[in-house]
Amino acid sequence: MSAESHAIQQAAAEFIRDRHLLGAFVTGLLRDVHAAEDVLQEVWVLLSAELEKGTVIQNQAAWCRGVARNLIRRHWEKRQMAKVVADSEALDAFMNRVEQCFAWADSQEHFATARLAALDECVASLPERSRRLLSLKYTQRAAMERIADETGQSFEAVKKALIRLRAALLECVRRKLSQEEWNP
Amino acid sequence: MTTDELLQRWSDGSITADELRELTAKLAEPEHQNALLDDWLLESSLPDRLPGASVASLTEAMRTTRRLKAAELPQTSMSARWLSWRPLALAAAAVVVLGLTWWMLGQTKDDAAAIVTVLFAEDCQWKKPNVICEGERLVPQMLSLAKGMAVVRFDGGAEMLLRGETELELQSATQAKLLRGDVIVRAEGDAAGFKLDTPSASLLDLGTEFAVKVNGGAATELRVSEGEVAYAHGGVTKTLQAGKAVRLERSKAPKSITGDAPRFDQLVREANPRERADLMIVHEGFQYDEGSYAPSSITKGKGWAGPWRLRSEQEMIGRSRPDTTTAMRIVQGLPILPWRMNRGGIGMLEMPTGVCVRIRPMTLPLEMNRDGITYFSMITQEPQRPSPASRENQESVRLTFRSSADFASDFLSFGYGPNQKPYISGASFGNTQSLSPIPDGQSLLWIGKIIRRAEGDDEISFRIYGQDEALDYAEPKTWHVNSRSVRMKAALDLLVLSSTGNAPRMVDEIRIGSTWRSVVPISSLRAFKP
Repeated sequence: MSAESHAIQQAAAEFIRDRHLLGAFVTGLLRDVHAAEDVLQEVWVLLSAELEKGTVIQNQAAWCRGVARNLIRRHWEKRQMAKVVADSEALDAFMNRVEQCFAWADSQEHFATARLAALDECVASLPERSRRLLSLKYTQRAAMERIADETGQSFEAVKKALIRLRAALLECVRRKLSQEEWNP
Repeated sequence: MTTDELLQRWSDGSITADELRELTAKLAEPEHQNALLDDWLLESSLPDRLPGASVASLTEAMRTTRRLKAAELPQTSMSARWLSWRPLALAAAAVVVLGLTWWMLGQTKDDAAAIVTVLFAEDCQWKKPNVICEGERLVPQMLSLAKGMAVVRFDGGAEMLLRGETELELQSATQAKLLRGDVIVRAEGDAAGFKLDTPSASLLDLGTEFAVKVNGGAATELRVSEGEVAYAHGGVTKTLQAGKAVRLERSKAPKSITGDAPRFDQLVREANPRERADLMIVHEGFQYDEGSYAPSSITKGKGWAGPWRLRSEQEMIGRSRPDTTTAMRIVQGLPILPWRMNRGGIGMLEMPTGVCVRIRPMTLPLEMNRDGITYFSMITQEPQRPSPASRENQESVRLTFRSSADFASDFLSFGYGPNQKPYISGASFGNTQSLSPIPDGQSLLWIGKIIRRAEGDDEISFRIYGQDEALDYAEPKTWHVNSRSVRMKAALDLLVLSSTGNAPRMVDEIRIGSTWRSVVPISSLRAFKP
C-alpha cells in the first residue's frame, strides 16, 4: 500500500470518528440538511485530494471545519442569502466563536459519543406518538403542513409540539450527561 | 433574549445582526458554548437516530462522493482514485462498470426505498412483526431473528450473515447497527466502506471479512478474517488486522481476545442451500417424444390452466405477422446442457424459422397489484447461428407475460433482439436494455425477478447467463437489466413465447417460482459441489 493510500485510509477512519461534530458544525451553520450533505461530501473530496498530493494535515478536524466554512460562505453568496451575509463582520465574529466551541469539543473525550448514546436512550423513552412526530420532521423531512395534516393537528400545535419535544430531548440529554455513567 | 431563543432565531433564519452579536458575546461562556454544541449536535444527529431512519450518513456521503466522482472522471484517473481506496483491487474496467451500475442502482426516490435484499433465509424464525422471505427487498427497519441463519446483501454491496438470536437495525445501503447477536460481514472490493455500529463501537470495513458478536451486556467482540477493519471506541480509532480479535466495552480499554473468526462461505456451505422445487409454481420441461404435436396436445407440466395454443385473431395486435407453422415440434439429441437439471426427459421445444408465437395460460396469474416476488427461468439454444445480416433485421426471442382479460394493453416482456442485448419491456414503462450483448453460440439460461408491490414501484430484473458463467446459491449482485419506477396493476395470466428470424431456436425448462432456488438449477452450483 502506498503512503498516500495509507494516509487516506487513516483519514477515512478519522473522518468517520469525527463525523458527528463535523456534521453538527456544517448543519448548524447552514440550517439546510441537503446543502449540509453536499458540503460534507465536498469536504471529503478536497481532503482526499489533498492527501493524494502527499500533504500532511496536522489537525484534520480543524482543517475540515476550515474548508467547510469556506464552502458554506460560498453557498450563502451563491444563494444571495442577504440576511446572513449582510453584516460580514458580525458573521465572521460569530463563525470564529463557533470554531472555538467546536475546537473545545474536539479536546473533550467522548464529547459526541456520550451525547449521542444519551440521545438514543432519550429518544427510546419518548411515547410512540412523539417519535412519530419527530420522524416526520427529521427523517421524512415533511413540511409542517403535511405533518399537521397527517397528525390531525393544527399548524401551530405541531410547531409548538416540535419545539417542546426538542427542548425535552436536550434537557433529557443534559440530565443523563450529568450522571456518572456518561462521564467515565 | 436567552441563548436558546437566539439559537432558535439563528436556526429559522430570522436573527438580526444585533442579535447575532449578542449570541456571539454569549458564546464566550462555556455554559452557552455547551448550549450551542448540544443544540447543533441534536439537529444534525436526530435524523439518524429515529426508528426507520435512512438519512445518508457521513460514511454514505463519502461513498456517494466517490461514486459521483467516478462518474465524472476519465476512466484512467478514476481507476487510480478507486484503487487507492481498495486493498482488494478490481480491474479498472470492472470498477468503472460496477461503480456506475451501483450508482444507478443506488438511486432512490424517497427515504423509504429498499436498501437490502434477502439472499437466504431458510428455517428462520423471525420475531414479530418481521416475516422475511428470500428475495425480499427490505426498507430501513429493525430485523429481529429469533433462530436460524439468514444472509442479506446491502445495496452498497456488503453481504451479512446473521445467525441465532440477532437484532440488527438496517440503516442505509452501507450502514447498519447490531444491537445483539452474531453476524459475519463480507464487504470486499466495491463494497468496502461498510459501517457497522454496535452499542459500544463503530466498525468501518476497509475491504475485508469480519465477524462481530454483541452480547446482552453490549460488549462487542470483533474478529477479522481478511483485510482490516477500522474501529472507533472511546473516542479513539484504530485498525485491526486479519487474524486479530478484540473485545470492546463501553468505558473500558480494548482487550485482545483469542479464537478464530467463523468464515462466511463455510457457514453457508454448512447450511447446504438446495433446490426448492416445492416452491416452483409453474414448470414446462417439454418432456415428450420427438415429433410434431398440435399445441392443444401439449398438456404436461405444472401450474398451467390449459394446453399451449396459437394466437387468436384478437390477439394479432399491431403489426403482428401470422405464425409460419402451427404445430409444436419437440426435438431431442441436442448437445447436453451445461446446467444439470432434475428433469424427466431431454426433449426441447423447437421455435422454427419465421414467426413463431405460442401461448399457455397459467393457473396463478402474476397479480401486479399485489405484493409478491416471482422468479422465472428458461433455457434457450440457437443450434444454427443467424447470419449477421439477419441479426440486423429481424432476429428476436421473447418471453412475455400478458393478461387474457386485456391482451393488448399491458405486458411484461423479457428477451433480446437483433443486437443481442437483453432487455425488459412493458406497455407502462417502455424498453430498458442492457449495455452488454449476450454470448454468441451458447446455451443460455434466462433468469428474471419480478417484485410486485401493491403500493410503490415494482422492481424488475433480468439476466441471461452464458454457459461459462457461474451460478451462485443466491441471486447475483448485478443483473443485465434492472427496470425501476414501474407501476403495473394487471393480472398477467398468460405466458407467451415468441421467436422471429432466419434461425430456429430451442426452448426448454420454463420455471416460475417464488424464490431464486425454486427456479435455478441449483445442482449446477459450482461453489457448493461436494
